[in-house]
Amino acid sequence: MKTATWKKASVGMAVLAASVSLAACGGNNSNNGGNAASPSGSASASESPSASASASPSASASEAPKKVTLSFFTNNSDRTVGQGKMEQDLIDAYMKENPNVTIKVETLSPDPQFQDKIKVYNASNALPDIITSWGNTNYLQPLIASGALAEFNRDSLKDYGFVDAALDGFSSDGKLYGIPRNSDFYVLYYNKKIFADNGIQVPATEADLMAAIETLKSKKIVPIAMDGRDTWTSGIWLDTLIQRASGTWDTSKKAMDRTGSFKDPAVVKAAGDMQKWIKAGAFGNGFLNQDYGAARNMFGQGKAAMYMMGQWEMGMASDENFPKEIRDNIGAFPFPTSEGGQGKATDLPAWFGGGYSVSAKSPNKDEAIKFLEWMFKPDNWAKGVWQNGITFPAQKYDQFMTGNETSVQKDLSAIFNGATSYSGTVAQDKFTSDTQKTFYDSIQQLEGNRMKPEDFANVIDDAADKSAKAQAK
Amino acid sequence: MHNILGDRKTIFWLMAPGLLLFSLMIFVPIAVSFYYSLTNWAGVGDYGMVGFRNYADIFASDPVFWKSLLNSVLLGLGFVLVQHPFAILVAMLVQYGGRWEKLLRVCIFIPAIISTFVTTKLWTSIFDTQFGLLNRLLDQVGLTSWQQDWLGQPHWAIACIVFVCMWQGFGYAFLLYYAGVKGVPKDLYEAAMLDGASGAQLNRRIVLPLLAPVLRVNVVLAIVSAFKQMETVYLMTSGGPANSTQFLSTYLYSKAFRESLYGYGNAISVLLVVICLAVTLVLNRALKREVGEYG
Repeated sequence: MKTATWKKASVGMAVLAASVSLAACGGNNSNNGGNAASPSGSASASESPSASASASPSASASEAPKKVTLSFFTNNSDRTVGQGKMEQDLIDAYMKENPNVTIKVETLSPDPQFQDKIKVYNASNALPDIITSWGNTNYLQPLIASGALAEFNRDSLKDYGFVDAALDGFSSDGKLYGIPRNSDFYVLYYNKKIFADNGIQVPATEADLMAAIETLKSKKIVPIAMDGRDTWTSGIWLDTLIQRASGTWDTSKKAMDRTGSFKDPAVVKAAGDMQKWIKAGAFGNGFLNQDYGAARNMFGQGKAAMYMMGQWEMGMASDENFPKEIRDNIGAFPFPTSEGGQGKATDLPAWFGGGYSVSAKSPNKDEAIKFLEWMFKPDNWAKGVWQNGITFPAQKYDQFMTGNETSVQKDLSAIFNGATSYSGTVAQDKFTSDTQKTFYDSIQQLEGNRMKPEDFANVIDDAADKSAKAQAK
Repeated sequence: MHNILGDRKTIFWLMAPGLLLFSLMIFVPIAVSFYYSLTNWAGVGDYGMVGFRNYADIFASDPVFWKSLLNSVLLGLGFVLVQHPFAILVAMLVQYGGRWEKLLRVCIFIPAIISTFVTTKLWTSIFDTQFGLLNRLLDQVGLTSWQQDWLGQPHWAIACIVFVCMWQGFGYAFLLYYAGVKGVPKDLYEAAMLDGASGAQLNRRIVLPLLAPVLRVNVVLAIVSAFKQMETVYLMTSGGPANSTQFLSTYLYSKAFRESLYGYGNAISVLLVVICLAVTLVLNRALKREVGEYG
């Protein structure tokens, strides 16, 4: 008994020490997202006492279902709208159905900071039980390689209506390491009222867009709200413009697997087009230092006419933080064709993005998997996110169509279902972490007009080469 | 009592707990950090020893490291050459504030007690290009051509960071000098007055020299804090645009966690420790003489 107490105490101490030090590490970041449910620092710190407290009663009463506390670390900080609300609603419902399970939520956004903290957690062997994860090579592969993620049984998901490609994105060597939560694609949102007030039609070509930008600028409205600080937004934009130039998604795909190259005329043209948009004032001034929240607010408060972002923002239409006249007027259109390029507007930058994984070292691994399998029953996640206008699930959703979808939902659905080709994973997600940084830095320099399109193509080609060599090792 | 404290063994045992804690918190992490700096660890998975290759890479082919070192030096110079003279001046003036003295003292110190996060976000909004107060103000007074993308242009961004850091640290610098000014014995003032010294002469010839010990401590603290600067930079620009406002701490963080070059990041952190120690040592030596002269 004595040793047991000591053991417990020392484990408690270790957890406490780890959580305190981690809370210190992430202190700055956690404030960023405005954690509605539980501030991350206090959530992890309070875990240790409750964990040791619940351990002793459950040992004595073995008949009753074991008390389990699962930690759930997510990138959806706002628990009152969108995917964050959906997560929270399902978590609450599950805890009601299973009184023995307590799920503690910790949140952190934006994504780069979230991924940083996952690395810190993993390095200190304290990965939460359930985490948000992505199918990107540079995020998922290191975690799989170090044995941090638990395997799911793909057969048990066969009636869930998952798109095969979505599950493949989370698989490695035929084993499934995550459950995908949505189908992502990139569009331009627009404010129908601002467009109508200024006599602007939805642009189908680059020339249309440039004309729209001119009109909006003269009215002192920011044409496109853009998160330039996080750079991944620009990464997807670059891939799209390369496709619009060359007419095929293969240009950047082949450049990444080294059967092709970024020193392609289409890449130089795309980089030049980016500078052309910026020079025309598409994003207003200072967008390079504008973060995700700022760009989103700008569009949501009607200060910007368009917003370059993925389908996951369709929940803005039901986000009551924004004025009703703007919420009701959100529409979406695909990227216009570029001048002298081969790509069509119906070629869609689309991939399977976020999902959830379970820590392999978690003592409650099975419970965590059980919860996720419950969460992703078609009637839970897929139905919930579609009917609440939150996101496109990675599962079949047509049986949940009600006809009451928001207008932006209908626009997006039309774009998604009418697409003539899909990009698959975009180039930026195939870089190793350090070459990705080079890639991002170069994009910023290009956008800041400190690098010429030709030099840019050469630099990112070197990065792709280095990345491919490192991954072949 | 004297006997007990004279006994070396007792002294050792009295110091041991503190010393143990100190080494666990300071020396062990540094040693571990040094160990990892000799590896190519990516933060997860296996790693191998690479000897001093990380250090060689830093010295041979890493312009960003030198840039961040330069930025740190720039901030340190800003502290010593701008912030501190100004803080001394204000500390000398506040004592003539009469019944406003207390209020002034509080007002000046307020920025130092507000969380860095809050004040940094405050300044970031002020510098915002499209909706920021600064650009708006310039627009209102007709200086539209003076408007800048404050945090988006490398030279403006670093200037803004240095300014905000100076603003944030001003309260503490002021407080220490103010205590120094207040510590000057009253009889010195009286003697000087009797000799016919003006207020300016009094402050320049008597108070200022007597501030030398405070100055010395303050300069060392300022330089070290310049080298350790992290949160303000991270929150304002994260080292961007394109690494132009990278400081040593933000750079090592970015290397270790953004680029997964954990070993490399550790090498930078070991160098940071070495640089801070060296600077403190040099400053202490250099400033000691001055203190001797006046003290």
